[in-house]
Amino acid sequence: MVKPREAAVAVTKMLNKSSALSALTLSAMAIPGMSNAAVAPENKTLSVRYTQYQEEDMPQERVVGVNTQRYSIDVLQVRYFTPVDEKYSLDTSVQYETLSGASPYDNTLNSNGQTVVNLSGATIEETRVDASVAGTRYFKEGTLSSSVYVSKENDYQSLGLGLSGSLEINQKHTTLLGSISTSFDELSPTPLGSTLTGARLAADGQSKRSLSIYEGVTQVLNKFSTVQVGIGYTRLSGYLSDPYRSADRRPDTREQTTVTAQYRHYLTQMGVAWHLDYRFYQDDWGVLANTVTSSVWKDVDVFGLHITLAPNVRYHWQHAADFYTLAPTGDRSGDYYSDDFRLSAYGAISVGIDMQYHHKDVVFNLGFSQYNSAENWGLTGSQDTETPALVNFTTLSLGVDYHF
Amino acid sequence: MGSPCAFKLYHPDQTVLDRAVKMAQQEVLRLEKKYSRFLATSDLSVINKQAGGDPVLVDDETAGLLNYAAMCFELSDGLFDITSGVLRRIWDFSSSNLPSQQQLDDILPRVGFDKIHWDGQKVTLPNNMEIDLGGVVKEYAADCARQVLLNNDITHGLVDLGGDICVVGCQPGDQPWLMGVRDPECPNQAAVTIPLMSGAIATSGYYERFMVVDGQRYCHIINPKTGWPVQFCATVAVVSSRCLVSGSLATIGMLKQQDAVSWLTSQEATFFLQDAQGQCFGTLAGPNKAAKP
Repeated sequence: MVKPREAAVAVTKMLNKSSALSALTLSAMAIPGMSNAAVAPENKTLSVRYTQYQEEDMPQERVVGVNTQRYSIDVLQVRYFTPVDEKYSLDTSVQYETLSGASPYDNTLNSNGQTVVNLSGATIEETRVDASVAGTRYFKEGTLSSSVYVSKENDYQSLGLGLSGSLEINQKHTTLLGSISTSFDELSPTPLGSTLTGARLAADGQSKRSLSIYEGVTQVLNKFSTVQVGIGYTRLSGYLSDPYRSADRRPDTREQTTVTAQYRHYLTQMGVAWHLDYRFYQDDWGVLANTVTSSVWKDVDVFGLHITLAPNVRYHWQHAADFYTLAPTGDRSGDYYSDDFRLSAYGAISVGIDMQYHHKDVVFNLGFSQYNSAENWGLTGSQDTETPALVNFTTLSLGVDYHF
Repeated sequence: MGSPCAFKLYHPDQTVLDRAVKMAQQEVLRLEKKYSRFLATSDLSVINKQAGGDPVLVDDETAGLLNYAAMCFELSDGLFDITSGVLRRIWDFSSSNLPSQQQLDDILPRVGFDKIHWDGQKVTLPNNMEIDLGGVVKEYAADCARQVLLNNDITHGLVDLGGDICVVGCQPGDQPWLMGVRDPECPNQAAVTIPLMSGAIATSGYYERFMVVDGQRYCHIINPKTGWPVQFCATVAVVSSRCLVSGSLATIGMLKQQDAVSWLTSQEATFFLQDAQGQCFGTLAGPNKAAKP
């Protein structure tokens, strides 16, 4: 074995100009910490997050019956992120969700000729548990991740698998992103009363599959701005109808395409980071949607506390699916029909604010948002058709992240 | 690291900044812990405790640093020596007492990188000897912190570990960072200001730790061959692509004394040197010379 000192001399002699500068630089570059390899994160993170999602009551005059309460969902999420060795990380999360309230299952016309909604009579009480594990390998110029996801509730279960990667090129100014994921879902609707009948019986044991592909690129434009654009394609197949609706019949495949763009700009003078996101969505059911989200991130001092504030606003509008109808249940014809408000034409605006407070290794998060939607808020594609079941809701989230 | 440390960073996204700072801090603390002389459990202490005993197998990073230290020893003709830390035991700069010749004669046999056995994987120290990576770890940590910041998407910023400074990227607006090299006679003033777009600058000076006995200044940089502090240079600042390289060249410059200017010049170093008489030398001498590492 060549002794390092001899090697040092040899290296020095090899260099035409016996320069200490070159020799030392060469030797310094051989020490691991100097190398360019994508370094895996070194800190662990434990996060706990609670989210309360509350749908607004429906107006009494648009509901059949007395119950006007819709869904209320509480979500508790625990996430643990840890580096493994020097080149890997593991990200695990468990989520427990309780849902209560009622959902629209039907429309009828009232005596004034207005569409009114039938809300499921009995208040639903459900729980959902899901867990996911993702492993990431860090390479010199990128990352490769794989993930598994399982979700279980009493009438639905899902298994998802994913693979994603990133590659940094062009001196890290450009990052290529790609992912592929698939899911296998199985339906087991709860009986209405004591026996499983109708659509619920038809759906029992049915399955649903999805395959998604995403390709994207992130580009550093200059020292103040970056942009990410991506295109995604998802194919759903299997039982795609809603077994809890009186008359809901949808095609057994759905092909969805999305184009996304995210722009980040730092406004030096104001000390503000501005985020602008746009998403275009189109599927072969006739749904076409546009979503624009904008937020600004700013550090402020409030009562001596250093807080990051991020007010945000989102505008979404969409065209209805070809088979969306409010025709009374008995009058529905054609191969496909649905009165699911999520397939209708509408516009929605949500306004919210996120706050972060750092104290040593702990980050406290607080978020609030208000979502409102209406039939005639769409910029394009709006129809005269009423959609009384459109929802308004608030989301409140509280979280603590501990880095150690 | 026993001295003020600072990161100056720009990025549009606060979360990216927070994460980057956190990771870079952790990297510096990791190295401080790993190579601390004061922590009995540090990798360095483990090596030193085994002096006179069995060889110690070191990891790749320590091997890299020992190889680097070996290279410095060779290139400086034995002046840059990581075994010279024991000399601190007879040089107490807070005392105004010079060590006796007897003390020097007793301790010098315990100094000499060529006396330790280093095969690239295992290091063996003779009894009573120790190594001190203090002369390389701070600069290396600055380079590592820079690398961590780069890996965390920081493209504009600098790392300052007690005056050892690594540029991560120029200031926004393609502006250079202005680095003042402390005037050895007036430590609150800059002897020279060096604009840096990239690379790293490290400075060594006789003002950092010293004592004056009978009008003569004795500084903390000690010639390992004689056991006496160096005299000629007041300060040496070196710019190169890596802080580690800048730091060792600056230290070797101090150790070379009268030969410093010719040696640094022949080694193609980009440097500023001010001698004890106040005379300035080097490619960076003179006000506002642009430095390209």
